[in-house]
Amino acid sequence: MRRELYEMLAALAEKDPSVILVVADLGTFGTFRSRFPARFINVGVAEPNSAGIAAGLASQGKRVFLYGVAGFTLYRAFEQIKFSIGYWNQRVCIIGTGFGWRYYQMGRGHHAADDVAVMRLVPNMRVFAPVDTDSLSGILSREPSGPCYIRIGEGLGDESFRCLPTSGSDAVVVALGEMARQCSAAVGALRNEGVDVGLVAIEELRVEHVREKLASAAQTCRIIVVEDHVAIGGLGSIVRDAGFPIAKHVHLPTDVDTVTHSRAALLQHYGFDTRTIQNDILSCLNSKPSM
Amino acid sequence: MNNFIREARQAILTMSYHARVGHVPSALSMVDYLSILFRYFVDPRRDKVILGKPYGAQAYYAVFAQCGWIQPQWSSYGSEDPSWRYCMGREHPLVTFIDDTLGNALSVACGIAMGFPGRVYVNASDAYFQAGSVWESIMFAGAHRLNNMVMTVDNNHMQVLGFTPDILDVEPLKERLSLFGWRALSADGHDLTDIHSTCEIAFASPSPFPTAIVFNTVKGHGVSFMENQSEWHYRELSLPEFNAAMEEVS
Repeated sequence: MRRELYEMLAALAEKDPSVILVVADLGTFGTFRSRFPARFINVGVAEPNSAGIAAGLASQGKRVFLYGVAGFTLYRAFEQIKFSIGYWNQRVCIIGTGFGWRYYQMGRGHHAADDVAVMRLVPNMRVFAPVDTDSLSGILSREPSGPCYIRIGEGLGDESFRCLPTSGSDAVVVALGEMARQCSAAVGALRNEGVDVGLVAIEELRVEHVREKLASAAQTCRIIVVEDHVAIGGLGSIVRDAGFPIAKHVHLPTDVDTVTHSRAALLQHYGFDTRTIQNDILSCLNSKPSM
Repeated sequence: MNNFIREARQAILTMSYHARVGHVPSALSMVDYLSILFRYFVDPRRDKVILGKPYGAQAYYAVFAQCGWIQPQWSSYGSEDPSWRYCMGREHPLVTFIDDTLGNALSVACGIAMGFPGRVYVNASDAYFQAGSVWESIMFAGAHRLNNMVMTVDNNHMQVLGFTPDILDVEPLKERLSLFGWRALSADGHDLTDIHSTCEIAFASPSPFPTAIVFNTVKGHGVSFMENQSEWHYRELSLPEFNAAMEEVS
């Protein structure tokens, strides 16, 4: 999804002369840099400064995108994001990459398994998890007037999730952004076997949004939450806050690490592979939901 | 100018006494240079004002009132009135940004200086330069030659728990700033002639570099029992202390 993002931001900059891209020495952005060099600000390896500069530019009416690996931007610059961007309600769009184990071999710093929880704590911050490039494009075109955070990943799985129903009488898989694509094969296979299971992608991390998305979920169906995020403060807790019991919660541990040599193996290690998700769905069909 | 500053000092003490708050010496150390700066060189209605030293806000209110930009309502200081908060809030119309912690305002000022064609003024303190994020911004402003930025430093050599050189020395600050690509000046922060002539250079004589003025000051200046006394950082004035202080500054 990164490559498409680079092009989308270049297109936005073409249309809107107030668009400025701030990075801390990450992101190639070839088109953007060659066409709008003055609007591409690379502050060097200095994430706190990048977030402050973004806030200052936004205060002067610039439409600022702050791009980086989420594991660096959010933690190194949390103070600046919270106080200078969030509290002052500046229109800065933070884009964090690294999900879907994009940087599986790069070490702990490249993972941000609690980004949603951390960003939900920031005043005025809206948090998005686009499921694919279409939804990323939609979020960018409706970009809020205050601060927002968008997590983007690798574009896992295929597009077939769009053909799957969003509700089912047996179960519904509620997935965090791109995880919906990761779950689509499991859901599709079970449907072929006669299990009435639906799939819902949650693209904005907000109780009202989840409530809306699950409005058609049958009262009796089991809810399986799948998120490449820790249990605290992520999609699972929002689903619970929205009043839905969770039959099975697939999530990451807080000490997520690059324990294997490939992305596929990592997905399997943490239980996000098709077979494990399929088994998770089946195992909870007869279990009692828990709050 | 002497009257202007004397009244500002009285206002600082009056506000602090009524609100029963500390940070009085932090306000007293910078009031001389803030008075000259805002009287002659910086207009918040035209320039962008950024407070990297949010504490001792009594001095900002006092000087803004002396300049006629706000109506003096000393008894409102420290109240729920958004125009008279203990530390100026984001609602205050005369300031563009205020640090909520210490060490972030300068990076915001860099962003403002790139997005705003006019003058960007930042006030900071000496202990501010102990924060690593400040040096990211200092390096950036110097490298990008943000020459519409002027920063003043209230170099009062003290911080919460004692003397800055004993805790973590930031000196030689002027030389360090100079090495980071700033035009660095310094002045005696209580000598009105020196303050004025240094501000003349900073504001009237163009430079390709951002400008810093390190004002060497005394914390609590003008009230003998507060000067260089660490315990007064947070201490509130009793009535006899208030009266004694008022007498000294008058």
